[in-house]
Amino acid sequence: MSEPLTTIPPVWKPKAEQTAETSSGRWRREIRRRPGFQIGLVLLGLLVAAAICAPLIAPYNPGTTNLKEKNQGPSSAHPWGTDYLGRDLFSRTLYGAQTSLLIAFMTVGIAFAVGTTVGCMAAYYGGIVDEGLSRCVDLFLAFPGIIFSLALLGLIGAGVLNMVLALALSQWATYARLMRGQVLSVKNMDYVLSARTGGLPDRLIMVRHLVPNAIMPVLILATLDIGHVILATAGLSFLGLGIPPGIPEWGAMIGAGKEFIRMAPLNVIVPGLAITGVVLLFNILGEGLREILDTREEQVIPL
Amino acid sequence: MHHYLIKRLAFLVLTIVAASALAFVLLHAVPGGSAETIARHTLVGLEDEVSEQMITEVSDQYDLVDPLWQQYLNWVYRAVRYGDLGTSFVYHEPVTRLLTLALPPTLILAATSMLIVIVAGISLGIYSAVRENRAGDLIVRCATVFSISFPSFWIALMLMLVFSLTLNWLPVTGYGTPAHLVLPALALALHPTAVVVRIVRTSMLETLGQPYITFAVAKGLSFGQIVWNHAVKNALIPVTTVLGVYFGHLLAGAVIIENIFAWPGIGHLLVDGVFSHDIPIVTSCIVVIVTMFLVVNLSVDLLYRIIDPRISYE
Repeated sequence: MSEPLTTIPPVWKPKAEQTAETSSGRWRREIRRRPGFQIGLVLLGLLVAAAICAPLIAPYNPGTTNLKEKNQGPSSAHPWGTDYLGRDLFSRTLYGAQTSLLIAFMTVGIAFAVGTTVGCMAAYYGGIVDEGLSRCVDLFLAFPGIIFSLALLGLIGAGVLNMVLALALSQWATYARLMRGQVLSVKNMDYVLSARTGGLPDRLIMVRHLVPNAIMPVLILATLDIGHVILATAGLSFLGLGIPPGIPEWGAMIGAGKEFIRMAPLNVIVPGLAITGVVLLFNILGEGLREILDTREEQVIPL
Repeated sequence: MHHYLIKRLAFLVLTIVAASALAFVLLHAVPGGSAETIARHTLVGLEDEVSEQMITEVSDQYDLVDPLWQQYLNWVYRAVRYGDLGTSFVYHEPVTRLLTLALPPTLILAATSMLIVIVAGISLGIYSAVRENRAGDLIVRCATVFSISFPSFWIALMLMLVFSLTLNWLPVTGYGTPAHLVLPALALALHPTAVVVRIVRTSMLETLGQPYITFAVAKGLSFGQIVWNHAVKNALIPVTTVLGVYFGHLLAGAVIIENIFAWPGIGHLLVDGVFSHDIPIVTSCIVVIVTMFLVVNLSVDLLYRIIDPRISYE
């Protein structure tokens, strides 16, 4: 009934002829063959560095208003123009990267941790545990997209942490579902059985054998999901939800700037391009990661 | 067949009940759901003090005294028995009435977008697969990568800037004529269309690699005949399941798009409700959206089994 929201990445399984090669060697070779992926990685590094060093790079304070210079086009003083309060759009967009990346990484981190734990426990213990956890996952998957986060966020009020929690609540179930399917496909392998026969405690079997062998497709999902969460964050803050006033955020910038779209379209265009660029970067990286791990073998679809 | 249908329907009802319980309890339990906040939003200003008496008054008026589980059971009882989903705190009107007013616009918008998704997604996907690795295919693939990276609300504003504010071809916001429908439907359809194009393309390429296609080529059938009579039908079967999921995305995306274009649908009602802490409205809108999503997915699953007889009923 409720399919996972992202296409399920195929599972990489080591082939017999690859045993001679270490997995890190294979990684390096695959990455070297893909210049696009390398450029993506470099751009990601630059983006994160720019976001962290925003106070050093930004020519202006993102909150300083200057009504004399409001709604200006690009100039040498303000390369990307100024917004409806005369704030420098370049500086605000740069600081906006901090907010967006922080929220996206935290949300995906929490959703990933909770989802993989729940999925792994459901698949490993089976029976009543599986039944209970899976129904819970189904329940959360019944809420399409971000509507649940939207309602919750409106009522609990603005705040970066509230935003992260509300978004993570609507994302974790997808991870749990994928992880459960992955663990189910490896839990009856001989090495797991032998570990169990050897008396290894359940916790260690999961940490040492199940998680490392089941996690890859979930990691790909997480990479693709970062772009998705950035879009969701921008959508919510565009409506005026979640981001406290004073913190520069791309969606909120568009939301406030749309009143001035006719006379100063840069208010809307600049942050929109920033969102598009960053989401595009994460989508390309996610696709690249999927291709690297994909050896065109069978797809395991968790149901 | 009947067993399967009954099982699925029972599960559908159970999920809707559980989802409504989750939404109801969570939205009433959060700080913004307290009688104090509601009094602040409906009786006095946001900054003003709320007296004890007001809180009691509000609690009595809106049935907020009982423990949460009992409030929920009361709400479900009245919903099932009388079709009464509560009274809006802000409009002082039955939620059911507001929902019946908001439902048609949302359905019109979602259906139009879905139509664009199906027509554009499938035709571009087939085109892209047939022209694999030629210029047309590359352009379509680049366009899809960009399309899934655009925020849909930003595209909506850009469309508005170009077609309404600059060229004056279409009205800016509002509801009523087909001209009002064009921009919201396009903005909403962009994202799912890109995904459907990619899925159709992959599915087509897989089908075109099947032995029976090679046989059709060997038989001397023309390329058009092979594509239309043999490949497309089989390639589109897996696409149907995805369409149901993306209908859900359309409903969720409509929440933002409706607000941009002042489209008087459920999304508009929901966001207004969220801002004015009108909890009966918020809960009911969510339950309605979840119900639509689940019903469409169930229908798609059943349809899937009709168009592909190879799939058996469990």
